[in-house]
Amino acid sequence: MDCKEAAINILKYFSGELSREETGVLEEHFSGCAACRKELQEYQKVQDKLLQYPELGFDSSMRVCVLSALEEKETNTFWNSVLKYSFRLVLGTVLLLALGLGYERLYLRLDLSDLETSAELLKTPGTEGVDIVLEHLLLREIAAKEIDYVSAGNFQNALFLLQNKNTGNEKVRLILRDISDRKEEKLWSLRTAKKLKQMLVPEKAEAGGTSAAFPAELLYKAYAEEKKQNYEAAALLYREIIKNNPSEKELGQLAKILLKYTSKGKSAAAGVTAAGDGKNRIKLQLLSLDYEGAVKSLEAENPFGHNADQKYLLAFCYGRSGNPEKAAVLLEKLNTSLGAGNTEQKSAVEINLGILYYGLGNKEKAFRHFSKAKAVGMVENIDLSEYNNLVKYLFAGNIIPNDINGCRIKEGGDGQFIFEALADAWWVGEFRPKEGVWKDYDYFKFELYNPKQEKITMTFVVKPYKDAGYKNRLDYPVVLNPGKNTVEIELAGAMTNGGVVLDWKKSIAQWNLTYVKNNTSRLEGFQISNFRLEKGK
Amino acid sequence: MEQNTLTNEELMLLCGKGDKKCLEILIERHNKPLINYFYKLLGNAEDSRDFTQQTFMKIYEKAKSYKVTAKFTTWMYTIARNMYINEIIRRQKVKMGPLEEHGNYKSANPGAEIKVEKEETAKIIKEIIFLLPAEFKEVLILHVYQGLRCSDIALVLKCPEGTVWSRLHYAYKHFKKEYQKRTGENGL
Repeated sequence: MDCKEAAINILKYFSGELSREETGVLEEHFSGCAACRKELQEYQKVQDKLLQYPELGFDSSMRVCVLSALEEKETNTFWNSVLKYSFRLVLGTVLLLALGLGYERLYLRLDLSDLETSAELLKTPGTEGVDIVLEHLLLREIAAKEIDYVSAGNFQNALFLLQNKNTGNEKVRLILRDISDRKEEKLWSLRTAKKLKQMLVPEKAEAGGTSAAFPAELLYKAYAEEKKQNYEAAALLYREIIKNNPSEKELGQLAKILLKYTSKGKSAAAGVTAAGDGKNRIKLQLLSLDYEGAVKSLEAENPFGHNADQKYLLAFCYGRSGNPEKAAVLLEKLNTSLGAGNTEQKSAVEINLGILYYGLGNKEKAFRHFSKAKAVGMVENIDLSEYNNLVKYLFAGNIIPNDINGCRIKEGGDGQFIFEALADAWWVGEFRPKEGVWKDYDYFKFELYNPKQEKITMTFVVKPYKDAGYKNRLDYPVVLNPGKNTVEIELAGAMTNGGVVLDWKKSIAQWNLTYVKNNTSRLEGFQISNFRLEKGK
Repeated sequence: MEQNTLTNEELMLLCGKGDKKCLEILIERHNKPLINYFYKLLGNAEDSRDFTQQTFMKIYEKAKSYKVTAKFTTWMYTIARNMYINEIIRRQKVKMGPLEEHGNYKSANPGAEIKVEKEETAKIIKEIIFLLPAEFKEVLILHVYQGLRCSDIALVLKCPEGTVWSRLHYAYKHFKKEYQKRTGENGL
């Protein structure tokens, strides 16, 4: 055994993790080599110093802290789940409104997949309940600009259960009770509650005889008129209902509002740019999935510049109408204008930017935005598969390996990952790179910054198996000009020094890049970035 | 107490069935190492306690899906490390500066009467470790202070064992160099 071979095992020996057989060989080497004995002693000295780090003591309050925190969490389980669901939904709604982009997976994950179906259902007679829920969701986001997390969550729950015909369920009752109890809610909620009550718990309604007493047909007619924007006609119908059912106070109130709305609409200038009508038009365009139309309406809505909500919506429509680049630009602008305290919107914008760039194929940018969204703190609450895919893509060894020896990874300015060679490294590379990946590619590429003033030659080495000798490995000379170089290594047909073509289908044991002019050649100052495997030239 | 004689893994399986007594035993056993693990990573005693508490909560929450495929400590440090990584990402993104308590050895060990020289050494060691690149720091801490074998660290880090050894090697060299730079002590 020579010193070079021994060097690898000294640390293992020092840590007591060397096999018995190897220990014997190393100890024999120690007996005749003062340098290696010194190396061993140095490990001991460093460790002695390291162990002088002050220790914190046992925390006697930890047990109580953990248990009471757990207890508190468990007590709130029900409300937690309700809130969590609502939270996700609202985030989903914001996402949906901000950007749809046709990423159906995102839809599904956020339980909003039924929204489009629901929009389709609008055209089917007898589904007014769905219509109202949907309108409610959109109205709240567009017109009211108020987000009531819990109630929004409940509506979606209700809709979900309704479509799954899960009637009579205890959860449905709770949701309905919650909606009904919200006296401060707008009329939409109360109407929806009533409608849902009828649709979800028909057996109960029949048993109590309320369905006969309640003029459902009249109500449907009123809904229909309202939908057609015949607000006066609708209001009159609501009034008629309340005449026979004095308990339906909210309908009376609705009638009042509708009449007011009508007179307001009348007094406003004719045309879609009138505040009420304009918003209504956008709403209808969204409901009928006419995103291009909605873009036009939104662009016309405020010629003096859009507020944050309008920008969200516009970006959503851009994305939906096949213009993701424009959506990204708008969201980037919105992102810079949002204050640091506006974490919810900021997080939603970051997520959407991530999704946009992911869709546009800019994975590094996507990763950066997802990371930012994660940093703001909301992503933890949703299962963002795009993000997970990206992490896998970037770091699982497919394209960018995560553990290049002799390098430290740092994030470059524009989402690039730079592998900076360590000051005392004399080679960079990877042991056991992911199996079965190389065969699918034609080139191994990377960018390398040569800090020296002169041309240098480095060697790209591939070892097909561990400890492959000179003949059996590939030594590929790489000539580097001073400054930045893009290095391409053609994989097909690459031969070992002994003249045998390397079989990339088999796993390889190691690749590395060395610059060993003499023993003092270290890689300090070299910047290596973007290791990648590519197809074609 | 009978439960006290159970192994960590057995306690975890009982935790999965909702037995909080077993969690208490695990907390008693691993509270100090975990606090010190976070303390060395984060350099702040208060944060370390918070992170330890959260780790134990996560352990209890995940106990239902716990399977004895590796040592409990390996599993525990995997959870703890994930929490640390999330924190690092958060700090990088919100551009948080060094931790307030960083370098302030006294507050980490109030009341202890240690000679000025010793205190100074501890401060330097603390600073070097704090400033070590993250990938070397975690390997060094898990190996030297937490006593994990490199094969177990490889499981925690989900990387080849060879990578752990090379990182550990760098960590030792780096520490030595930095320590000499700061103290001029060539004997190291």
